[in-house]
Amino acid sequence: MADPESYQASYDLLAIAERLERVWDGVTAAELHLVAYVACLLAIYRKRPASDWGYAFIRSPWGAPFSPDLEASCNALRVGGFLDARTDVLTTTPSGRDFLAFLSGGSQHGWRTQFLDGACSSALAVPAGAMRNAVQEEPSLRRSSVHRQPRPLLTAGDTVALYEQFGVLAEVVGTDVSDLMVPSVVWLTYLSEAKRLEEQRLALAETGSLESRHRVD
Amino acid sequence: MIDTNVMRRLADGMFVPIVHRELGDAGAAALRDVLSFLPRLYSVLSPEQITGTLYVLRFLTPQQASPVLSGCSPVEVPLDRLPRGVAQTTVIEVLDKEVARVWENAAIDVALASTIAVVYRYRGDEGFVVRDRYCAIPNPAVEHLSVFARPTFSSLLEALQDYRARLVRTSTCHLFRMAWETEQRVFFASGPEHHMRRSLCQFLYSRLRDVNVLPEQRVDETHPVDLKVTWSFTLSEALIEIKWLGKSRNGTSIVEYWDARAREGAKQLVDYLDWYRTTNPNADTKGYLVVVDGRRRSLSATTTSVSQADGMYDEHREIEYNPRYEELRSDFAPPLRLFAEPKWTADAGAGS
Repeated sequence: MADPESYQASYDLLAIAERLERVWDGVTAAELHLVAYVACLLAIYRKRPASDWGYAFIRSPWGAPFSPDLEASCNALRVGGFLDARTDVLTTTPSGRDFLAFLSGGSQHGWRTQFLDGACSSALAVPAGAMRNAVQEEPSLRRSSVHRQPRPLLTAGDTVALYEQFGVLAEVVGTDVSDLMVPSVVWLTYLSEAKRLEEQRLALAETGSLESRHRVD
Repeated sequence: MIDTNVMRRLADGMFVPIVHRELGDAGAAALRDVLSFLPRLYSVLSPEQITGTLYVLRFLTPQQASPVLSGCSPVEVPLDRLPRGVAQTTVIEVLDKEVARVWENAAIDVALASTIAVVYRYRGDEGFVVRDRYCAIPNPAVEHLSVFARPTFSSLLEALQDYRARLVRTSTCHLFRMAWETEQRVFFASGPEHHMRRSLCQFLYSRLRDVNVLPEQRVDETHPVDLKVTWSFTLSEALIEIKWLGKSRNGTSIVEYWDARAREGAKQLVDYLDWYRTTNPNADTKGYLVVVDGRRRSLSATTTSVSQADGMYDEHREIEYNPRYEELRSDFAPPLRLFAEPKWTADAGAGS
């Protein structure tokens, strides 16, 4: 068996799928990348550098977080019979769950569990669609959205803005809160709410301009 | 710019921080179990079938049910045998190992239960009761009665058909309702397309897995298509053009569009598809023409209400397209007409 240290992406994929597949009747590849990205953000919230996470993310051409390492691991897990792909959703197989148990038993992955738990719980607590919407508003993805080409996320420049948001978040929810579901849900809802308020403002401005155009006509 | 006030308001008012604050880590763990349970419950129990009150509980420590519940004896059921309807008061206790305990017609001491369990309540609206304080769950997509019901669609066509039946038909979507001049739904308001676009955009975003829905995307040098839907991990894309039929009124100024408008929309969409293909040769693009039909018979400039006969006159009157692009090209889906009913009045005579 290979060194489990090299299985961080596989561990995350199996752990996320195993937590969400029964609730959602399987997990799509995009959902896996999204939840893994939120887990990585929660590690940053706990002051771990992004480079500790073990694999990197880019902003994909379709505007969502995407990790080439996760994609490669996902393909390997499917080929190896650890993940089952039916139509467009993935589920863990008995071998996949055994492999997850094996990886969970080692010391190399235990530290990730709280972040994966926090991200998966957020996916359950935040309404469908809102989490995708919210993540698109986080500073790194937002910053990269002006570029047409895929761009690495969570670079040093991005994390400054992120730490600023997380500083306020920690102050608001309390630094002693151990369960990461709490800051995660508050932060994601905040991003979604901030976007909604901005859209509402733009819609009102547009309606106002339509009405004044009508008056001129 | 971070709006600390908004963040603080959320932290003070949302059910997740409240449960954690009031019930501690054990509460958060129990909440997680309830959150995992609710989508599974709503996959067999439609919220529309809840006419009474539903409680879902997860005790912080096991075996505490008896002090808070009385009435008939509970039944332990596997998750595929959960109730299909709630007429009076039903309590479901979330247990381990894929089973739940169900009390029909139960009497529950909510004040006490909410100190030793995470208590979810559905009674028209939904929320959590924490130490006898009700905390409502905001629902951004009000057309679906519960945020935990995830009726997601695998195909865009299925989603559009659901949108037609449940949101547009009787204007249940609050964004779509803004497209009307009044609640009678006789005339559209001025510039209704803006509200229609927002309504459909939000619906598709929340109901299709793995999509991005972008409003007003430019496809040629001058024209934006109303919505562009892109799917993650594939080259599939959909261009959606929305047209409306009927009359829009702004004071004394009336704009009206009839069947020809839909045919123009079809031609316009074909032009967009052709142009788009030249600039995006690798994309697997399909065009969808969505026609919101608010046609009414015998409207005058002063009409404020319509009879059923006039309001529903065009309900089944399909639009004749010539050519029928869906028969000529595979990238053009059959146009979808979304008839939007008025709120008719019994005493409104024709043309009143």
